[in-house]
Amino acid sequence: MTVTDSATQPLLRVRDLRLGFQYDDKLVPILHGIDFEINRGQAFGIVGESGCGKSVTWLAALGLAGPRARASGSVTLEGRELLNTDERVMTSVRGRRIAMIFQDPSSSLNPAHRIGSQIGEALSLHQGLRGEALAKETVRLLDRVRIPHAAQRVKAYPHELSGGMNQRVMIAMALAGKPDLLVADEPTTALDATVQAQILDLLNDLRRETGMALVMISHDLGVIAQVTERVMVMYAGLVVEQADTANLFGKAGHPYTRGLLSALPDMEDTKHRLTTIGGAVPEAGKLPSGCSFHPRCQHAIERCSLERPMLAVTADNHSVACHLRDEELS
Amino acid sequence: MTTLLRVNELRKKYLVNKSSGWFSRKQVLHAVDGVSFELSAGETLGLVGESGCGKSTTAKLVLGLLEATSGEVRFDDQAVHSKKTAVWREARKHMQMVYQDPLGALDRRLRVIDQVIEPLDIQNILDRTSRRQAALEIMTSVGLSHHLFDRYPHELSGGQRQRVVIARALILKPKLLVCDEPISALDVSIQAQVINLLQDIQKQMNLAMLFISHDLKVVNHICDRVAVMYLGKIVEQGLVGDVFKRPAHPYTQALLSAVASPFKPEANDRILLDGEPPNPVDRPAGCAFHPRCSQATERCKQSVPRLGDITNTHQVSCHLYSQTTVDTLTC
Repeated sequence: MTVTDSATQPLLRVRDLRLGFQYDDKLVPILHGIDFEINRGQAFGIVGESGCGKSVTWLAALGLAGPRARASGSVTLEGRELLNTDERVMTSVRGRRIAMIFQDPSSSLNPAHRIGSQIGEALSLHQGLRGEALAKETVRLLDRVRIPHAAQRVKAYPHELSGGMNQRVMIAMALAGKPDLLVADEPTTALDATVQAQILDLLNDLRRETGMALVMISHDLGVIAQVTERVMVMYAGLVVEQADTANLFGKAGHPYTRGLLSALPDMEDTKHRLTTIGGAVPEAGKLPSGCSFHPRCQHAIERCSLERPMLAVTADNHSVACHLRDEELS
Repeated sequence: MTTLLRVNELRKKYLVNKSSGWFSRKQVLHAVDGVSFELSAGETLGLVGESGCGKSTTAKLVLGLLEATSGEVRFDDQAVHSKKTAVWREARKHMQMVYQDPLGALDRRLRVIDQVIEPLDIQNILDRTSRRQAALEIMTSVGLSHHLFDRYPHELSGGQRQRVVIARALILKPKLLVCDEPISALDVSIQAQVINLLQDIQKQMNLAMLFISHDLKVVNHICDRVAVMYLGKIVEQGLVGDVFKRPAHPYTQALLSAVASPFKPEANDRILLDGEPPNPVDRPAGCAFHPRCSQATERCKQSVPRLGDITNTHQVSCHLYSQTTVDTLTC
């Protein structure tokens, strides 16, 4: 691989990623062919409702989806295939190249160990640090995630810290491997509003300083708008829309995205009645035919129930999976 | 408008162990510390604040589910007590609640229609067939379709379950509905359905609502007035338009600027607070917010501010506003 290659090549490329869970003789499909790319240093958002597959995409990519998972397609990190590869290769990727933080920090941390030793474990694993250097780096990382009095806090147990502080500890552990990509799965959902603002601010700063790419998974469109540069909207195991963040919120193309945006109350004066999306998200394994959104879509035509629309680029690197064009939707 | 609910200087204290150990000392936790507000029929009051600020405790005190340490709740000009007497039972007919997690609020072993009928059974209203008829009517009016009536809670989606909970709360035709984070457990596309439903039934039944939420966008949409709580006290209250457009308290200002909205992503003037809400056991002296406040003065560390009027529809409890500092000398 030449230097120019790695400069133009995306950091992570996902092609036709499919995932199902095997229950006895039955395969329940969850992801139905996902495509996206993440560039170096990019802040990438994934939006969708519960059960749409936004988290499981990453578990599949990192080989963490469990023994029942059956994945196909391709996930490449700088050209190297990750899907269904050797466990040894994956061990060198997890934490070191791609790190992940989750919604509930207190259940991700070991309650019986001091936070210093938990961060230290990640540091010695990924960077091979020992003794004095390890202790120093641990304090530096805690400082980095803006935990006050870092030198004293290394001795604290998770229960002695608040939810926001524990999430900072999780971020410090994720930074220990100096990852190229940090996947944050609903990192602020369990936190208070003022603390959420602090954590988002921290993640933004860290991304700018280290040049790592950031994937923000969230159901909160506000969080996505604030943090990311590019967004992908998922519905029932498929990508329905992908665009630069400003474009997505400015000119949403897919009826589902439009529905989500108009269903949100805002801080505006005008108290219009909220527009709702009727019905509910389909159950996994019981997808409607054609476009899986068609039973809830007010614009659906006959074709929508017969044929699944493909993601098609409209303009400005904005792609939408819908049979109808803009003018037909408005 | 007549005042339906009047809450006066409500307090709830808990004794908690300070630390585990041989000679642990008991400490006082002020969950709710002198909260007063009024609510009229057909009106919605939002109660906002971060976790642990006493929103839900206030709701339980209002409903008489907890015994207040001091202070008074008057509903329909009668005092609400937590003793489960006949008077309490009569009053409770008119006050109902909806909680965050509908699956936790429903009995998994009962068909949903039986759960909607249950309040009528308990209060012994109507005969058996009319009870069922009343349940069918109310369930239809909250948007549940007929084939769902005989199902069990686990067979319904989250939004449908919350509709069942709302139907059950409404079947006694209450005057007050207390909603404690009624939509936070629901998916984004379902939240709007439930918000619209709550607004519709409020109009139809002239319900008073006490709406607890941490989501300021929802509160802005649904509430007439709002009270902002911090560590057991109301720090600012008033009409939603006043409080959210011209927030006076530094805490309200920070809360509002922390709202992440997809419609205004570039908020450069975002106020980031230092630290997190303190443990209510170690309540800071003076104004409880002063350690996180960028405008705190010596005075804020020593004397407790009181709620005072800025306008006749907007009150704030902060030393920065001279109106409220007048009577602090008496504290």
